[in-house]
Amino acid sequence: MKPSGRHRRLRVAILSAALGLSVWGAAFTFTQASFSEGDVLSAASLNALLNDNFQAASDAIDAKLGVAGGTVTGRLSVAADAALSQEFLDSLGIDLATSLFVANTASTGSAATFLAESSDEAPAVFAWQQGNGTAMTLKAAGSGDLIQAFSPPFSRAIPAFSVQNDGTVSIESANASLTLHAATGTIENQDGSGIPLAHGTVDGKGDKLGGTTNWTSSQNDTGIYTIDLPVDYNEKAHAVTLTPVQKVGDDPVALNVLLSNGGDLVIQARNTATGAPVDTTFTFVVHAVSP
Amino acid sequence: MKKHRRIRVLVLSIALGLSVWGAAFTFTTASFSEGDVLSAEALNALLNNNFQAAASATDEKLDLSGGTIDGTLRVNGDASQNGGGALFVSQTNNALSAGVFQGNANTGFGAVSIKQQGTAPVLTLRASGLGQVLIGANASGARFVVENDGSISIGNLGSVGTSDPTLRLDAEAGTVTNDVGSGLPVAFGFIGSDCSLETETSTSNFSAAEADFPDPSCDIVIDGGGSPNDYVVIVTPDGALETLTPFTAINGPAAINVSFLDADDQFHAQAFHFVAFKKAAP
Repeated sequence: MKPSGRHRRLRVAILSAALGLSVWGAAFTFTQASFSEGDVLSAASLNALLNDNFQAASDAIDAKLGVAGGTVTGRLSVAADAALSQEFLDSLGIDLATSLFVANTASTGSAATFLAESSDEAPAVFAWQQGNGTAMTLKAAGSGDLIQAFSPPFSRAIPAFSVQNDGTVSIESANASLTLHAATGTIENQDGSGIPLAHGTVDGKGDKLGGTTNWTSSQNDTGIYTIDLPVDYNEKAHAVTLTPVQKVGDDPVALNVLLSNGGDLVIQARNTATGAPVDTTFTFVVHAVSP
Repeated sequence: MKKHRRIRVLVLSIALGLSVWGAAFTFTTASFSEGDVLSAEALNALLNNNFQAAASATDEKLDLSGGTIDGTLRVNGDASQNGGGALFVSQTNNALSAGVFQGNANTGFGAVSIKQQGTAPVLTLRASGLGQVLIGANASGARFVVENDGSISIGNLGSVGTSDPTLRLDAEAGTVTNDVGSGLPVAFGFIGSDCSLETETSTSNFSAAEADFPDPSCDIVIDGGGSPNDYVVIVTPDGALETLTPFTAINGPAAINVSFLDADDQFHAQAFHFVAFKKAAP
């Protein structure tokens, strides 16, 4: 019954091969242990065999997904039925369920980075919503932009496309810019051009017939009309165009803007032939350089 | 001896029971004592069964070709320690995406929800190549595209987002056009009676000067070249004391001439407002 040195060395060699996981392989494989009845190993050797190899296995798995992070080579699929508990989500102030939750607790760095080298139609990130919900939701609890998108050359510090915190959309190139202002509902480009501040139609009695909802109108006198805009009108801030609306056979009418009068936009209509004030329906458009 | 063997088996079973995935691979240190005796069959079964369980559990999660996690995966990182982010996903195959997020929700938040609690952007997109920056598609195809240069296309844009849009915001030109060509005015402004430009009121992309003929009248030249015929110009007099009729005409290869006739058919110096639209291609 004295232990055989040859047997002990043989078994140790087999188990070492089985558990040598410090270099991660295709899978967690191991050689079947095949001790024979009557083999005797020293306790120290067995302890070392198990402890060293378990530590190696632990290190290998930690390298994949340890408490300090890790690297997965190959595709990782996360399939879940929105399994994070509502209590957990509530504790984070997040009212949604998810299969993958990524959090970065540092004040710098991203929560997630996706890097792709695709040259065909495959995007870097593909969000596919099969239900009727939204494909992607962005929530800015801080004051940062919702989206910043950069394209070459990256030396330009300004994103080519951005959606600001309030929803304002900005497009920037080396030569031009477009901004869709969320607060004012206007579009501004590099020249200051934008959608009209206001437009509409006023009848001969000064009544509003239609147009944008941000103005009212009244008649001051024959052929004199006031349009009350959401901001004070002055000719140094606004460009105004006017067109008479008449029936066939009516006398021609000339329209002009009267000089600024206490912040109101005042329109004058006159008979072209006689110069006399005359009531007329007209349309107007007001543009502002600064939205 | 029987008592010792049962104790050791219990210890190792706890160490290797990995069929339920834990936070990390932890095990209890083996602590056989000199002189312990186990049967070979029991030791073989103990090692083989538990290693097989560990191998199966690990393979199911993460083998060389990736893995599948059934259930929620949480990644909690501290980017200041780990570099670029809590989660880094890299795809080296040029035909595939780095990440696919598939949802099946009818209400609530999106297939992907991103919440930024600091003041940095919620989402940063970087296109090192020539591909589009962002595509939003519904069941019939792409509907919203942010192109590589930041231009936005909206409409039925086809399967890959390159069909003609119904509305386009062009980053290079700074224009908004739809499928009939209408969009932002190319220029507008206020011109004094001496043809001086009121810069506070006007877009920055045109000049104005007194014209030689008719006299008096003003020539407007819109930056970027092109024929005056390319523009639709609307003119309204400002502060006129007389009844005036505005006229626009082409003056040379680039100038848009603006003049005013009074009731006596005489040209009249007059301050005016104008708005110019670029015509759509015929």
